[in-house]
Amino acid sequence: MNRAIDRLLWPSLWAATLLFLGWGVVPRATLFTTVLSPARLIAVAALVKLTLLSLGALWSWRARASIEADNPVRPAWTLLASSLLCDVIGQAMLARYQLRGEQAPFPSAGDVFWLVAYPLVGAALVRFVSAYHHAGYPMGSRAERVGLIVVTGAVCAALSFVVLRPVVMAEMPALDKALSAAYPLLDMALLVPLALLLRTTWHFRGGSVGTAWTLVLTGFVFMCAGDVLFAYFTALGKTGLDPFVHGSYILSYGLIAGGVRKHVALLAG
Amino acid sequence: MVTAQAVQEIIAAITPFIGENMARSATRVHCEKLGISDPHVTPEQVELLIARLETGLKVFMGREKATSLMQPLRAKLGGAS
Repeated sequence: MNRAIDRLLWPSLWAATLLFLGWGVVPRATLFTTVLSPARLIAVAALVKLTLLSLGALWSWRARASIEADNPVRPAWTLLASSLLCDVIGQAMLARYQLRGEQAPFPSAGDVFWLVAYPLVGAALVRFVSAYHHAGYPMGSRAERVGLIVVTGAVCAALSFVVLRPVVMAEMPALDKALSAAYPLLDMALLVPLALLLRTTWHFRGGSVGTAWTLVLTGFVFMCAGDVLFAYFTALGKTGLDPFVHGSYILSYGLIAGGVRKHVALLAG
Repeated sequence: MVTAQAVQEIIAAITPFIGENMARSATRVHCEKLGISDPHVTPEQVELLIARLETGLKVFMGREKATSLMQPLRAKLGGAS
């Protein structure tokens, strides 16, 4: 069963990502004006995202369950699983509309769960960094880590200014504007622990630990990219660019699920 | 036992999981801390080295799997079980 999932996951992920990229690049291609109409593609995207997020949450929980109670990474897996579960609930709330071919509301109750997911995943990443640093591996000095936090924080602050400008300038209701700004801001904040964990796990490159983390962290980077694109396109009213947003999220959730799956294999294999 | 040979065996066992770069660095650091140097290493020092590396592996693969990974090394290199 697990091998079948492994064999199916990656080709399906690349195919789904390419499909949405194709839709974005050549929206008037026959395929996208006949068989795969925009409404159907949005329904497909909803199902794919829901499936990938559910797999990510399930496998994170399995990783947590595979590890002993006093292991320092267990709380981190609990937090990551909880965060992905919040994403599953948020996505399920949107999918209700998307599967019926209706316009998903923004904001919606799903946004509450998307927002709660951020502190959970941020805390998970920090717990992973802390556990790995206390495991006795030589991974550089505290000063280097502080330096990385400062540099990443400064870059993210500068990026936030660029990303938020069209959102703040856009004419939209206050709550819509606040949420459109909150997602990229939270993503920028998330990039700081992401950079820390990326630097930490970079030391394990070439091994299965390094590969698993590269996949998970690249997934989170694409999630941030998807959020930024969503905020940008919403503010600019460019709904025609939605395929790229869907593609970013599908790739993101797939990489996260695939990376977590590799962690589970590491724990149980 | 020849230190270089024992260290090489240990590095080879953990490299698939944590990569060659970290396997070498972690082993070197623990050897320094444990006072392991060329040309010879005692079975007790090997056991200590394996135990230190096993502790590090637990965060990635759990106690049970880390122990089962290191067990053949203990048997082969003569560390206490």
